[in-house]
Amino acid sequence: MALPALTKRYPNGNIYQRPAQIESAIVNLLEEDVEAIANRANIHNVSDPDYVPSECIVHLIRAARRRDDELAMTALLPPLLRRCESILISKISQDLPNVDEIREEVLGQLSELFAADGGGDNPDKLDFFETRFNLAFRALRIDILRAERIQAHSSIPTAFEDEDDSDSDDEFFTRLSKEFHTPPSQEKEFVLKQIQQAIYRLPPAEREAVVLCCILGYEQESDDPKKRTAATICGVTGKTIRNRLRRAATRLSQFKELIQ
Amino acid sequence: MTTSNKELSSLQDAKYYLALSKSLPDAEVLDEVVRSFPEHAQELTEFAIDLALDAIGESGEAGLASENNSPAVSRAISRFHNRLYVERKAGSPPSPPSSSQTNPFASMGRDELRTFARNINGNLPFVMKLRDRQIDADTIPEDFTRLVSKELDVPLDLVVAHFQAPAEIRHSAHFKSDEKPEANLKQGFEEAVRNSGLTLEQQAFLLSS
Repeated sequence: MALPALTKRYPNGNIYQRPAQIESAIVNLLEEDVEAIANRANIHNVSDPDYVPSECIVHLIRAARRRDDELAMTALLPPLLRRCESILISKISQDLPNVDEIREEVLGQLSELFAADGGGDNPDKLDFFETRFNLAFRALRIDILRAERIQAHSSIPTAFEDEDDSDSDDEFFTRLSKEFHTPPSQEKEFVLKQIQQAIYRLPPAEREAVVLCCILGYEQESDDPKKRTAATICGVTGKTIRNRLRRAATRLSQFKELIQ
Repeated sequence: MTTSNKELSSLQDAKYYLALSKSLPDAEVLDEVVRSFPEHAQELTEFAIDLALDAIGESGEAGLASENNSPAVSRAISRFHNRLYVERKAGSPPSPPSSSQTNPFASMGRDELRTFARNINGNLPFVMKLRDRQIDADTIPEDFTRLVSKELDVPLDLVVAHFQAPAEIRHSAHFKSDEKPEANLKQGFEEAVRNSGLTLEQQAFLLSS
């Protein structure tokens, strides 16, 4: 049984496609009644054979929306939202003063996407959620968080732009970058979360330099004037980027031993 | 713009493309998107930075979810039903309701709403009640209406007309789709002030107007 194709397109014009295992799982779910699917949607252990991927639940709610099946929508939306809430609880820092409001807004906006699916300015936005739910939900969450976030007060003093031209700690950042790009063990995951929080607390300019160079992989600067580098993106010299990285390395020095 | 860029229909799509391309975004995909949307280079770069930071140390699914609906989930479900009601009422295919002709808040984003909230010594939930006309116009003090008019920089008559119009239902009122939302759900001004999470100082200021 062929499922209706998604309509959202990549920049190159290709249409987004559900992963094959998601298509297969949806086809199997169509054989079940909605109550059984709703019960399975409450399973959160991904290794459970009855676990239903969130992408499938999105598809089924959208299909119910199209045929105006209130019963199915009402049965399937709550378990999906509960999954999302658990993600929000783990991903949005309790330190934010308006954390409850932000979580509620994310859940509310996601809910409204289902209600408005097929219309408005972006009628197929939920295609993203049928393709890779967790990544799409991250995009939604971060977009809202960016708009809502109140800059947390750093416990670390704000930096100033000195004119010192000593080298950044390239070895430290090389190791850090390697850690960021390696699937973490449980122990490493804990350490990386600590580093993540420390990077969040860096002064914005230093945080930007660290992420651009160590996570996104930009060069600090380049002789090629057309090349995007951390320096061109931040609109500063390579020397300033190096200074920011050096200061950030000092602030993150407590983690040096942990990532060796 | 090239033909392929036309397919990337919005900045929002670009953000989702960034998010879905790789679990941990990199310079290659960010540069690709920025080339398509050079006018949004800064926004996309900042978004990618937040994406990248968020992804650090992530190993997979989040922790256990509750089997019962929390208040936040319940309110989200209410928003779904409210929006569904509006979409159905608007006919098929669904389209966003619009009261922008009379609602001076209609074009304001959340940041603007927050700024406005600060300017009137309120907060976002209270301003959303104003925006969604959830407060009985007859109970709103004239001085407060003037303050809103001044801060919004719109004619006083428009603000009065906005407050007197039926309650806007699509954003945050909480009722099920089979319960028709009515203007009589409107709160009194004092009730709205008391139940919006405002500080005592803010409440005192607003109720003294």
